[in-house]
Amino acid sequence: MIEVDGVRKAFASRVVLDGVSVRFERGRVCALIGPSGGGKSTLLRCINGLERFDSGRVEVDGLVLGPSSASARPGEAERATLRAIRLKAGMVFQHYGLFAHMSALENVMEAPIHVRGVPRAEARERAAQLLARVGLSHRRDAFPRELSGGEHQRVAIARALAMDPEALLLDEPTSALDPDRKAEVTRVLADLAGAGVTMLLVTHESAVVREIADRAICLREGRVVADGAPSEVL
Amino acid sequence: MARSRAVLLAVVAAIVGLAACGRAAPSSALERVRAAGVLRWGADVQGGEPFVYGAPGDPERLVGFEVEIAEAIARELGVRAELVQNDWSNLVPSLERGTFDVAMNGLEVTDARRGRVLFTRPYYVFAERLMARADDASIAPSLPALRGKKVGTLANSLAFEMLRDASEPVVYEGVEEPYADLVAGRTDAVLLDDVIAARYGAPRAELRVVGDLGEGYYALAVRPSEPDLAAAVDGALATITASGELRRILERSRLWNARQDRLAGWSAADQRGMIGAPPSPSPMGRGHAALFLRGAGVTLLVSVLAMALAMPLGLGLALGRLYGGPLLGRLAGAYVELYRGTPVLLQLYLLYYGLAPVLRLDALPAAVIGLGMNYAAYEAEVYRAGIQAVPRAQLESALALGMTTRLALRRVVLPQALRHALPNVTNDFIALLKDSSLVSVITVVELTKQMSITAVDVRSWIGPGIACAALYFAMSYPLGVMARRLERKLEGEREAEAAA
Repeated sequence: MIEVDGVRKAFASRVVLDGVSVRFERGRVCALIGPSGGGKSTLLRCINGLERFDSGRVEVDGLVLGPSSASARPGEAERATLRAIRLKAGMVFQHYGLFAHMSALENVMEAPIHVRGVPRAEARERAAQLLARVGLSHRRDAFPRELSGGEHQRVAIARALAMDPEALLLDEPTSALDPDRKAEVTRVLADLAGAGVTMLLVTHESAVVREIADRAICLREGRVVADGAPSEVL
Repeated sequence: MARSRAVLLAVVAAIVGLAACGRAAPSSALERVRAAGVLRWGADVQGGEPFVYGAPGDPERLVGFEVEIAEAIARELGVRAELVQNDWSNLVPSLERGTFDVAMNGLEVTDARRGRVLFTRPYYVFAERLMARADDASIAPSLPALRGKKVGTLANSLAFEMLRDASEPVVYEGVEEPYADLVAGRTDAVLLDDVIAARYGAPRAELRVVGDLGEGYYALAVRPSEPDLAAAVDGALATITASGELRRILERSRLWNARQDRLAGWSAADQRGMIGAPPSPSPMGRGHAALFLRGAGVTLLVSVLAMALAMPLGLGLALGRLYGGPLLGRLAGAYVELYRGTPVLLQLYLLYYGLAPVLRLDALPAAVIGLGMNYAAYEAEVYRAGIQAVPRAQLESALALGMTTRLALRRVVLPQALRHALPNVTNDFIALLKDSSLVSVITVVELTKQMSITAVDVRSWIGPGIACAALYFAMSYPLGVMARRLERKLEGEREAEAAA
């Protein structure tokens, strides 16, 4: 459902992605691993258009994104494609992803109401269900600054799920957490994997890879250097 | 207790002793001037032709009929004359402070000044000349006919004293602007000394002379404690009047007329008639309190409206700079640099007087727009900093949820940025409250202007100054407290966020 074809990306003179081609299947959980600076996060950000690339193409469920220069402002058609792709591929960030001025519940309700036009009451009910699913019913009125790191990431996952994405892109969702918090987030991800949610996960942690991924891809210096079952790649 | 009382007594004794010394030390003022070999006279070169001004073609060299009179008086005293440049509206306070020996710069003998300085015999008899637009027949040459009319004049002038109860005076600080505004239709008439009217009003074809509403005198002002200097200057003036030198000086500046014949026979009785019994200063009272509150109201009104303009405009500029693309970004940047890089006083002048031929704003709207557009430049930078303080991930999260950039800014970035900016916006508003005193240059009578008008009435800066300061403080202190509280609250939230 996600196809990356010959994507090349350089920041100034440093090549971050050097012709990456890879396909991700629906219903599978794929981990992107490899050393820092290997291009994992950049690949994830290229897939949902937060980062533009110099050549190659990205296709998400039939929507095609081509190369573009960083300085050029995208036209209306391209912006519409970007938004459509982002609705199909929800994203969870490593840091500061939750809207700081809204409670946990409001964070989850925000996009359904203002992007999808879901009625407020309906969005609230759905958000409450999603918070229950990640085990945070009791924290719905807390603000991001009052949440622990693990709770923070679980709200971020619920928020991404609220838009009913075809896939979840997770950028190091556990790396800033202590072991207990890691376990609590990993458990939520494992539940989702069990429920058949397509996930693309950037991580440093082999434990997480083993527990929830059914495929691992190792990126090094902008190239895919290994691709297979987690046990083989790790 | 006993000890502290002893200390107190010693301090009091020391002060009394110093005061006594201070009284005893100087001998006569005339001796001081003669010993120095120079008569220092205060005037404002900005007052322009024909009083004191830079010679055409050689602006460094000062000329004017007052320069010639000062030199003639100094010569008679056996010293040379030296001009001390001083802001016109502060000539009397500077004289009191001892910045110069005498003040001479079209100082009219007014009630307010008679109570504060010693006037010499006059060197010029002027008429209060009323001018109106040539096509406006409704202005008649009498004070009662001016009721309800807007009449331009200079602050603290004899004309202002005449007009303040008879019409709606509009107070200017320069001699060119009252006539420019009369031509532009912002006022109905201008009442000023004939010397000024002849140079700045009469040459304008759109204006006509309505008539003269009274007479007054220009004389030199001397400190009340120095009657010997005043007497010596009187003697010098009598000499140059009798010799015809004064007449020649006035003729050179085309100022001589029949009215000046009176100077020749000037007697002690004439002097008493001019000085009269100095009127007792009106104490500050309920009437002044009402005026002060109205001044504070104008200050608050101008500030609030200017801020109400500056905030959305500043936000637009900040957004234009950050997200508007190259062209809009550069335009917004140029606006900010231009408005921050030039004095707000100049901006107000250009907006009110400079644009008058094409855009005739009233004083209050011009004040609001001028201050608002200036502060917008500062608000733009405050908001820009606030927007940039919102972590990039906040915008990216919103975009990743399918929001357009516009929606993401409105729902996610701006609410946080504006909260961060609020303490600085509040501090800027406090600064604006005080900067709003600048709008008196375009004839808006706000709190500070009210204070200086009252100070002239009551012959003292202390009472009006304290009242004025108290009102500013009452307006700005609660805001300052609020800004600090907000800052602490936001600080606490940021720490909590960093810890989470």
